Amino acid sequence: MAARYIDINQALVDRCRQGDARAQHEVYHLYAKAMYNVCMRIVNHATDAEDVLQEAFLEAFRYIHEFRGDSAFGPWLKRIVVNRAINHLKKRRLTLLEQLPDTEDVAQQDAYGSEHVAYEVKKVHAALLQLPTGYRVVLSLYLLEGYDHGEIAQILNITESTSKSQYNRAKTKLKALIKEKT
Amino acid sequence: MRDELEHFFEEHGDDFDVHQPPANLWQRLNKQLRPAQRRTYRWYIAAAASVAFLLGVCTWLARPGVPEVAGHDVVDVTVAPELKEAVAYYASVVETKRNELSPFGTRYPDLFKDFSTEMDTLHVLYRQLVAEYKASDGNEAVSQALIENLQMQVQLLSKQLQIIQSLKNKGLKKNSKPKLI
Repeated sequence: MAARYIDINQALVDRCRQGDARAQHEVYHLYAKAMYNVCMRIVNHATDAEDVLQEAFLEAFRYIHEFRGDSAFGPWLKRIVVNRAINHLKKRRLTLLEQLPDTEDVAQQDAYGSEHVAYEVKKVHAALLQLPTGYRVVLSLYLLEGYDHGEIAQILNITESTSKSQYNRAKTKLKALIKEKT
Repeated sequence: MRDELEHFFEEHGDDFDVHQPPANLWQRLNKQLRPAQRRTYRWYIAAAASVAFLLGVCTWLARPGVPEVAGHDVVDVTVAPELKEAVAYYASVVETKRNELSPFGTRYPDLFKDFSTEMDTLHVLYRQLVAEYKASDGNEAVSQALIENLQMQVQLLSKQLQIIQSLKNKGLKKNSKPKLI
């Protein structure tokens, strides 16, 4: 996943720290699209995603002095965006945890995975957006934003095992939805 | 172990970035980022402008045939109703001081040199602030800057009056009247 980040140099960050408008615009230009898509996947609503993105960039620029530079800038910014997006869902009181059935047998339900399916981005994406909010969020965080279950547990304030079980259920559901489309 | 679907996401992750952020989002963001920052920037401009303003006041008042002070165009209270009271107060102080100053304009032409241009600069600054205030929907930082701009005008006019006063005193001591135009 690391390859998906465009990283920026320290000089640009320093200029942003000084409130240089051109540097801020440059950073915005570099990351806006990727970060907007992160927002869209989590909140699944264009206007809300715009608001979340605006708030996140504002927070990032205001608190850029807190970015120490030991990690890359992209993941730092993405974490702000993700947190803002999750908070937005919480404010909307959307369920972030989907109910698990009493008798869970992920291995059996995962039978979808054993069949060979020719995945297409368009269909997979459409299926992803059809998922209940909690499933969509955990799948996006794990498969597209590159977080592991430990990090997801932290972001969603759940346990790591809950993250894993939610993820497995979400994946099974996604496969079922994809299959319906083919 | 990663399954087929996970591999698919790994390979095609970037292809899921299908949405474009709206074109005006940077403008919206920039508007929110700027007010506080501009204020610091403006302070330096204002400091430079105040020096110029001092010279400017003098020249402007020294212009032949224009001894009165037009203060109303500086403070446009109608565009900033929320600030009306504060602006009106400072405007009246500015005007009083200007009226005190105006008789000296013709007596000390050198001291009032270049005033007109600089006065305009200060007007422009003020007008920009008012415009910004309206655009920012009554931003706190901008309204603060507006008040500071007026306070600065008051301070500068007071200083100018002090200078005139000291010149007058010197003139009396030396018993030599300043040259009249």
